[in-house]
Amino acid sequence: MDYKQINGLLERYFEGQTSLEEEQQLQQYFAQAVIDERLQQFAPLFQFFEVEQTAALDEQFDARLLEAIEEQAKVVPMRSTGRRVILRWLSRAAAIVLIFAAAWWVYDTQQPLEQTGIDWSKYEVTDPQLAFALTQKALKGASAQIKKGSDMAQSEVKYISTMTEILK
Amino acid sequence: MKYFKLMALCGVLLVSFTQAQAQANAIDKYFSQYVDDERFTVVYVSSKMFQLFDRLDVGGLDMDEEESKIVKNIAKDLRGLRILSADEDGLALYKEAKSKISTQEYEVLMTVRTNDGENVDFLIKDNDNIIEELLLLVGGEDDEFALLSFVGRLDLNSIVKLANSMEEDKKKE
Repeated sequence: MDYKQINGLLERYFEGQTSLEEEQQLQQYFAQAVIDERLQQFAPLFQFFEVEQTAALDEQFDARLLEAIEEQAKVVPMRSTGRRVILRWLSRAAAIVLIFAAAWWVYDTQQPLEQTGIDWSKYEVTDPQLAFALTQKALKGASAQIKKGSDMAQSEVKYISTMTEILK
Repeated sequence: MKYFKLMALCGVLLVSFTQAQAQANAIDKYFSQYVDDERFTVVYVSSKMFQLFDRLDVGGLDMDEEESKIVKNIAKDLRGLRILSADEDGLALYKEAKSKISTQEYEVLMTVRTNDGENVDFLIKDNDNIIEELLLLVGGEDDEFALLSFVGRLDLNSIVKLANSMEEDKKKE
């Protein structure tokens, strides 16, 4: 093949329009011992393709690859035995503890609520006058007790202060 | 993502339960079995009733005007009054009741023990210094037991005012 032909093929090659056969032709040309000087610059490219295409995996490749993978698999857990594993387990434990705490809390607060099946309407006072009288009585009772308590506290304080007065 | 959803669910549950809990009162929570007990007299006044008080003409009842004014004023902010009372085992019931009430939730306002064996306890549940519930626990050797639960925004000052007005009445007599 002469220079013109090859050059034309090359141009189409770089435009991506060559067929497989034409590419074969190019490869064959560059595999020759004598290449046109003007085409010398393209030689390494096609020579490289030639080498790569003939390259095949040797029989031990699979074994080597598997070995390498296995080795890596062994290495991974080794690497993370330190802080990372502890942290991971700690976070898991914390999550579990949290869920349990939440569940306990819910259970604990729910417990008294479950008992509240009281039908208060049964005991409701429906007569406003009576209700008022009852409320007044209740409030007065509460009020009297508060008063009593504070009066007692007051008299106690007085008692103590007179005692300290005497003891002076 | 799974964990986030779980956490969110837990959060929602917690919030809903605390809200539900806020609605409850001490009697519902600790003394529900007393309510069905024959020994106890149970009284309940609802918040609707308290609202009626304002328009209620209490002239028919023999009451001091000043007093009923204070009572109406206090009742305005009440959402419920529950009374449990019994005429037997006063001291035992008092002790039982006191041990049941969670001191974490209810704060002791005042404890009085007179020399004739009567115990009176005031407990409050408050939220940001606003009293949400006032519990009055009375029980003693004279076999009387009473548990009063006032639910609502209570003003202790006006309760004390009521006591003072009662005092004045006595003086007048």
